[in-house]
Amino acid sequence: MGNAGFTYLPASALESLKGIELVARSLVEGALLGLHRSPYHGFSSEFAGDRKYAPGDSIRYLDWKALARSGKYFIKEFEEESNLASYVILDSSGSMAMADPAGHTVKFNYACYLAAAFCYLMYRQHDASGLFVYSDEVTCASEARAGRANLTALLGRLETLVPAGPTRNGGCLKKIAGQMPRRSLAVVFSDFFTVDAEFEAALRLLRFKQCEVILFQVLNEAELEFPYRGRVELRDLESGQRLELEAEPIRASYLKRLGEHNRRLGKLCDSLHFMFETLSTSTPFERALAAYFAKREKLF
Amino acid sequence: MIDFGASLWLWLLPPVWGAALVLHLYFRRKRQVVPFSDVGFFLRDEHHPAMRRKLRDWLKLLVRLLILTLPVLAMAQPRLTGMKLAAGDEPRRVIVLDDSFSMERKLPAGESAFDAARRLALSLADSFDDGETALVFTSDVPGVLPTRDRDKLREAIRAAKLRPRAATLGTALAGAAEQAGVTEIFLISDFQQSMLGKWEERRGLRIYALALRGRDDNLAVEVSGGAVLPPRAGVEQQLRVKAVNYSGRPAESRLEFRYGGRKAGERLLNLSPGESRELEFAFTPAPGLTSGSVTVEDGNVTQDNRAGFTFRAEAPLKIGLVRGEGQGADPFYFLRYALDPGNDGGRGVTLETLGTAELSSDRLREFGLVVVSGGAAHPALDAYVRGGGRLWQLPASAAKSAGNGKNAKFAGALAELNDVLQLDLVEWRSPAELVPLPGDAVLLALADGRPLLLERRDGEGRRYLGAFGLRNRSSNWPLLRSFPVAMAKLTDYMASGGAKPGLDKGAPVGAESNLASASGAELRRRLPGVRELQPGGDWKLELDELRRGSALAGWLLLAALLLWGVDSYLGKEAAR
Repeated sequence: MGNAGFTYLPASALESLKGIELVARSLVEGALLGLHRSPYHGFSSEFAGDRKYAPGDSIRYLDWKALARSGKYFIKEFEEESNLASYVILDSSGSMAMADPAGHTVKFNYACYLAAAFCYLMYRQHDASGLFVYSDEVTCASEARAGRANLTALLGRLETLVPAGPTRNGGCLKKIAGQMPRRSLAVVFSDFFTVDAEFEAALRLLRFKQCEVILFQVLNEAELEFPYRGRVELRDLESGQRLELEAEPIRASYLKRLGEHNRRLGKLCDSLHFMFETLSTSTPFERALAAYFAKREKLF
Repeated sequence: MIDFGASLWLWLLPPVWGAALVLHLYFRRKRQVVPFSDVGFFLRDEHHPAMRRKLRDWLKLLVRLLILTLPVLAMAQPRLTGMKLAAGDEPRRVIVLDDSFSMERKLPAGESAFDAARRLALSLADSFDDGETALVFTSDVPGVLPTRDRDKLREAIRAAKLRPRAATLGTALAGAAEQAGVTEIFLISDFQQSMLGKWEERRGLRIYALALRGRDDNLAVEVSGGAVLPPRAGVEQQLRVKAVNYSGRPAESRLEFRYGGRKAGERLLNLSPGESRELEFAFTPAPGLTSGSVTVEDGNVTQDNRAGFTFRAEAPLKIGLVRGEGQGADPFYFLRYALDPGNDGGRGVTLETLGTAELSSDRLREFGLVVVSGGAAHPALDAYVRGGGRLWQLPASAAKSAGNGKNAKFAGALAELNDVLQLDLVEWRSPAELVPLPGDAVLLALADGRPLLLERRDGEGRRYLGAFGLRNRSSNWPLLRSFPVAMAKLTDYMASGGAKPGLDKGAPVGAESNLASASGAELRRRLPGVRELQPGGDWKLELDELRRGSALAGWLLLAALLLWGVDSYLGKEAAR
């Protein structure tokens, strides 16, 4: 598919995505298929077997032959196709507007590239993909659909997004979790600086709904290493708050706090069998994605 | 109170402060503005709220300002002047001028220490342009009370002379310090070691010492003594003289003896360092009072180079001896031997026995003393005594006695004989009973109080009533060594009526003769709180500096260094 004209899925990126796709296909498909091989036999062209009729079942799939043979009511079962509903959940709060120290890569843009890649992969697998965007409230909620038109719509939507406003990870995610169908896949892109009890509750809700959640923490070099020297004035991209400090003395304690924060988050995700990955914008997104899927392949 | 020696440097402070402030603000402004995702992430666990951070920032600025300020202040030569006079108070100073004999010593420049001291005192007095000044001498010469009259002060200094010292320097200093309102004391002295005395430091008082250390070599002479026996005219006497070399170098000199206005002897002296030597000069005194002197040549301090004396010699003494009836052995045998052993009047005493028939007033008047034994009595003797004669009555043989006795003691003018008697154990055998009458003086008595010798006035003369004879029957005294000396002094006393002949020597100069001066260290130890100025150098500049007080520059630089350490520590604390 040629996608010239989509910022977050440039033609040039497709070349590298091919490789990813291929890998992804064998892995994602396998992994995703494996994940979403439904224990509930759905309705497809391949007859898989009978089960006893339960009140409420549609008589459309009544196995007349089995009725004639046994006098009992049976419903036909079919192999379900991979009909995964996946959702990209994108944090578009002001904090995602932070660029790397060189000013080249904005976290939000990086997240959008990743989100576009995931949407494309879903499209290629004929899976449905949807999009949620939030900051302090959910600003976009696209239902998961398959097909090219959906992809085009999603990619186009991504291009219109501008990161701004405060973050309310917990509250928004909880709302999104409520809207998501069961057993769907959620890929969340955020910096996850603000994590509270509400956020944890949202994750637990997704776990309850048997969703698979992959959390991608998008950070840039400045956030990961705090490479500043001398006196710096930090300006909060969301609240506008200013903080003046000496960089060198504060670096060690900041990095320590960041590490502890990420460890807590990682532990929470482990306990819920979710995946948590920290990505640096200094790593090309294609490479980051490939690394992730390679890692995922080992797990599954 | 702080004073600055180079206050021009202080003009550097405002630009230094300005530059420091500008740099501080510049580096504060020179900061990188970084849009960050979540500033709250820093503040969440922040232990130092913004206010404390700001305060620390200002503290850092203050410390850095001080680090720059203190060296500038140090360059301005600050001094802590210490004592602050209240508004309206004027300084009151005392000049203590040492006018003792030792100040005659010669300084390297050739002038005497005393001349230099007067010159310094005048210079000091001229330099005081405010307040009152007093002048104190170390001798007993009255000084000058606190005055603004510089002329009066100068006059007293110019008129000062060398005199015997009346007090130690410590005492003179204490006296000066007691003057009301005194702020400064100037000690001008040679600081002779032996005359320093004691002094306790007093707060708030500035004492400056102008030490004049010159030659410390000195020869001194003193008359140490004369003959033991009472001197008689015409009888050769011995004068003992002591010469001392108070210096660390050998001394050669000449000792001259003068008597009765004429040179009577000379000796060449060769003394080792610190040596003291006794010499004797013989002379034959004339009757009456004659003066003399002993002089040693000395180019430094001369006050102790001459020792004067007076000598009183009595005319030769004739003692008449009257023997009482019934006396077997010669009762005057031992007396004769004690007073004139050669029987030639060689000691200025002749003894003549008188028979009863010779006793007449005219005859008796030839004798200075008549000794009567055996209770002999004669009207001529009574007339002799009443006419001014001296009569020593020995007891009769059959005189009553209360028994033996020991430990007799002389009294009054004869008490000096007790030292002689103590060397001997005199036993008095049955001394006669003597009953003192009112007016009698007991010259000799036993330990139990029994008088052995009474002095009784009788008319113009004196009777000496003895309870003991002069032979070894009465006591063992005649056989003892002290007997001749005691008899000579006793008979001399009886004959002269108590007037004391002999040598009268002047008091030696004593401790002042040792000229050794105290070193700077010893001076500081013995007179604590005294600051020494060097009179040979620019002492006025030195005084000015001392008055200006302790230099603070070193302390300020040290403080700056410590603050720099504090600044580094604060920086490290912030990094933790």
